[in-house]
Amino acid sequence: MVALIVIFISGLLSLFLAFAKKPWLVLLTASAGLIAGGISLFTQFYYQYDFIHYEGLKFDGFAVAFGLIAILFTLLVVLTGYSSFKDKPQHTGDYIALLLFSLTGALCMLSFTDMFMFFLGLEILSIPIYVMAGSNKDDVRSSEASLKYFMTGAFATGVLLFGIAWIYGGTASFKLDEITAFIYNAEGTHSSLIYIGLLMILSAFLFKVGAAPFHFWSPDVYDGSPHIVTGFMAAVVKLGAFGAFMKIFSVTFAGLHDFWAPALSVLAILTMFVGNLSALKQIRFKRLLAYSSITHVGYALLTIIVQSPDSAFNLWAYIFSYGFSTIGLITVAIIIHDEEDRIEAFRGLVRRNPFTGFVAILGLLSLAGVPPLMGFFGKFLVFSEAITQYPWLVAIAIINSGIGIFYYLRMVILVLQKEDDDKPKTPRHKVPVLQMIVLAICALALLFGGNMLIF
Amino acid sequence: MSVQQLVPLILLFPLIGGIINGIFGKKLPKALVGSLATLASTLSFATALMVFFQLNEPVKIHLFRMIDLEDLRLSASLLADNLSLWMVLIITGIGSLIHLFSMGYMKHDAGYSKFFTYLNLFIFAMLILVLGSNYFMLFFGWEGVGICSYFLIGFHYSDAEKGMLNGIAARKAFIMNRIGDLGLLIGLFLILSQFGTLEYQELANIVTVDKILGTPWMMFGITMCLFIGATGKSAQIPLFTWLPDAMAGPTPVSALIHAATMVTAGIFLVVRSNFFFEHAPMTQEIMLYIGLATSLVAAFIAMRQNDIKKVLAYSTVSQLGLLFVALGMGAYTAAIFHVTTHAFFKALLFLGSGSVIHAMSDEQDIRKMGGLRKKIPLTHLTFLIGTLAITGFPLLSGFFSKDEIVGHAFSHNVVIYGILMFSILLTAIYMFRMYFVVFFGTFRGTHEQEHHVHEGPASMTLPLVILAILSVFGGLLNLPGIWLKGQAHWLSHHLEHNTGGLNLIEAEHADNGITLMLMIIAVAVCLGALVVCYLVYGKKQNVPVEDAELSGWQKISANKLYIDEIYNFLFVRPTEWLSVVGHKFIEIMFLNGIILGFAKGIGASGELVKKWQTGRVNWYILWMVGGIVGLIVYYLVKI
Repeated sequence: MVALIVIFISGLLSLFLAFAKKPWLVLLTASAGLIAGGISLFTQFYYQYDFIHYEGLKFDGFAVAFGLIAILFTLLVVLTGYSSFKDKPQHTGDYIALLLFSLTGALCMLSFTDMFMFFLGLEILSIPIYVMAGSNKDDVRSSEASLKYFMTGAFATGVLLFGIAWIYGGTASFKLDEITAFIYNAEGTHSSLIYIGLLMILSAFLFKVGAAPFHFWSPDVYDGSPHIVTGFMAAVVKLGAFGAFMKIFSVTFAGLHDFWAPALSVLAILTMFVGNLSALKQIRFKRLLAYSSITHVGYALLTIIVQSPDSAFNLWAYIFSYGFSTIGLITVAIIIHDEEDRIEAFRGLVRRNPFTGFVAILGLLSLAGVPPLMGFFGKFLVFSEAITQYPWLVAIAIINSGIGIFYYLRMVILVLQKEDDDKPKTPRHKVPVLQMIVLAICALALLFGGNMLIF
Repeated sequence: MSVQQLVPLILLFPLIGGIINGIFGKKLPKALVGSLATLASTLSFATALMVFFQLNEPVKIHLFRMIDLEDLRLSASLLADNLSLWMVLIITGIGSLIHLFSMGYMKHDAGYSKFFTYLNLFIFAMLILVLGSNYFMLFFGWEGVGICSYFLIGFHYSDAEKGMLNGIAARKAFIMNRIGDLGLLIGLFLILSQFGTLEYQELANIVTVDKILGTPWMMFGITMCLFIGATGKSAQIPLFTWLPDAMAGPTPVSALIHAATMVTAGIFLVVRSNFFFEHAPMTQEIMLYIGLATSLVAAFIAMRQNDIKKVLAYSTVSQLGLLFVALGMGAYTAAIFHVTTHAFFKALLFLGSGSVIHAMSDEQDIRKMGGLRKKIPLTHLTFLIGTLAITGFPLLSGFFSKDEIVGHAFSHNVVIYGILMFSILLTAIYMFRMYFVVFFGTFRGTHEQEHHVHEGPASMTLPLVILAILSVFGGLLNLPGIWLKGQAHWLSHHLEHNTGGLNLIEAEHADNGITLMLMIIAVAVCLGALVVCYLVYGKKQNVPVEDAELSGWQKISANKLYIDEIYNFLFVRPTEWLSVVGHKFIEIMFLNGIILGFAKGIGASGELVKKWQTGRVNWYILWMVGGIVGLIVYYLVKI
């Protein structure tokens, strides 16, 4: 709770400090707020041992673990985005404040105990993103992204509310533990209200994480949004949505696992294939990233389908590894700064900026799941947990990993290749210090984080 | 410094030398590159000497863990004992001399730094092979020397005239060795499955102290697999044909790798594993007969070869066969003794032939030489010493080392002794034949070559002189029991610990009278060959005729017993046929169809799915609604 307040207040402060026209001040406030939030989240949990209850919020181990990486990712995004905010110093405060507000929403989505808080968290998370997606006002695609996201998002929110209402109709409660108890007590004899409500909520979640066939918004929105927003969406928003997904489906609706798991399995397979196959022919980097993220959502859904005590940790590990790869790659794309955001712009990167190119390769290989990078261990944990219960699902996931390697390696080759001789040479990119730090953190995490995950 | 610290240094010097030359060699001046490599090898030798004088008992040095699983623990560790250190001294000592020789010999070569990089890396790999404390390290070095050998045989692969042939020779060596390596590898797996460890000391304890053995068949399998590995590296029947072809490499390489050190790796392997071989009498028998056959076949082929290096190559194969005969009889120290002296005189002969080739402007055919005795006197003198040593001329090193093996053979089986003596007689004949043809008579090369004949620089002659001295006095290392009772069998005593003193008793109790008789027979064989060859090739100045004019056994010898042709027919052609079938029918028709079809299918579905993304929000929402409806239909069906 303290963390929520600290982060929210530092967001507010950032908003007003922007009037001082000193971007670094905003950065400092936001970073301090994030770090303080992280520390308070951790210490509160660590020293009180007990879970801390508030009305509607509960910071248990799950919420703290996921919350900490949400804060870490936001910090990285803020750091890497700072230099691009500097182009428009009048908006620095807006950007950072919106990022922090959105993070507050994400934290709510990780710690809610009733449907009210969940819905509030979701909206707090989403609305700043709608705004930020359209923040690049000069670019028509940015506005388009914002509008599309808002419209589809509004629809999904409607479905979600509808679903919550059905659940309420079936169980007469908004509180998760009461719903859980109800489902367990009346096993097998539920009214259709609960089933329909569950499916509605499932649809909304699938929309939020970007799984097929509710994924159509994500390529357009990823593509149109400014890089930094894309990075935030891929890392933090996904994390929040997945956290809530797991809380509701692996705990509250666990009693109905036999009902929803087959449907979700089919959709997970669909998601993997749609993401992978669409990614094959992309020429723009953020679109590729969007489809790649859809595929990864497909893999991550395995942790929700598989009911095991380790599922939460596996999901955490998976998002942890995925977030570092994505933030690293987004940072690289910001450094390359191609107007058209073409994948082609990555050509010869490693010769121009060896370290940046190196991190790009690490990120790509980690997404492809190549050992010993962290992405491999994330995948390994997820697949090895699922293989006993759902061997065929894992088999399909592995086939998809195989397909995925194609487009990741294509980019790796591009990064390593020489530039065309007949075209003018791209000059060496300047890398601001903060982005260098982010790249270094990502590289270290990708290289050595994997070993920590399996211990 | 203690042995613990010194031993890793032995390995480190050539490695560092190789790395520096490999990375910066092209930019450094040639003199520096050569000196650096030679210095690395010499420092290694000096360190080994220091260890040699400090070492009292076997020392195991653990470097780091390689694989650490519950039932498989492999570590990179070294074992310094008398045997491994003796090999290290041979490798680094002769290696240093050959490095020095190469500085002069390779002077005008474009790949100067590359050559020394490979040479240093070879020394490093060879040292790992002998110094490792387990079969795993041995295998690592085994493969390392294999790859260096491959690089060095094909060193002049871009040569306009012979480049292709050099490449093919390198490939042949590599493939032949691969067959042997597979045997070795299977042997290691068998050991691992049977005993659960690859450490020599642990295995020796298990086998000799605890007396825990596998079934006789298991022991036979293990030792046979190790022996197959040895036949590959040490060029025994049926895998020996690569060694003569390996002469395509520069001559110092032939001296170092294909005569003095690498080819003795198989001998080392067997001596190291003697505790296994002692429990597999069948393998010992096989080893003995294979060695005997190889020795005879190679000596026979060498009779009518006219390439100076080919003769030496077959002679090496023949001598290696002799060594395996010794190993088959369990005469391990005798084998190591002969490995040592053989390293001296064979390196000397190869370097001498290098000096001749250098003087003759890269001519290798002995029919085009002749009369070189006066033109390059130093080379002649040292070459003569080498020839006398290998033929077993009294009191030179080869005399004693051969004699010991022959002595064992005599007490083992008189028939084997007889065949062995015949092979030794052939050796004496072809060596003297070559010597007289090259150094006696009149010069038969072109005028230009004659004008050019000259002795090499000091860096080439100095190694010759040192090796000649060693070839003369090397016999002192392991004198037979009839002279100097106290000092006799020094090397055998030195290696006692490694071989369990097995054959020492036998050697020490050999009858003086018999020993003397055997010596007299050996001397008679050597001198007889000398006289005959002098009369035929020295005095009458007969020159070997063209291969086409030969008939009978001479033709067969000149054509190398047609072994290459037989192998070609038996193995190469069927394999090629199989690969053509595989390519045409399996690869193109079957696999390509599946794999490319699969890739095409994926690509096409990629295009298809891409079209799904229309960019219109109404469609998106429609699909979402479709999804929800689908889920509800699912509910209706399911309930």
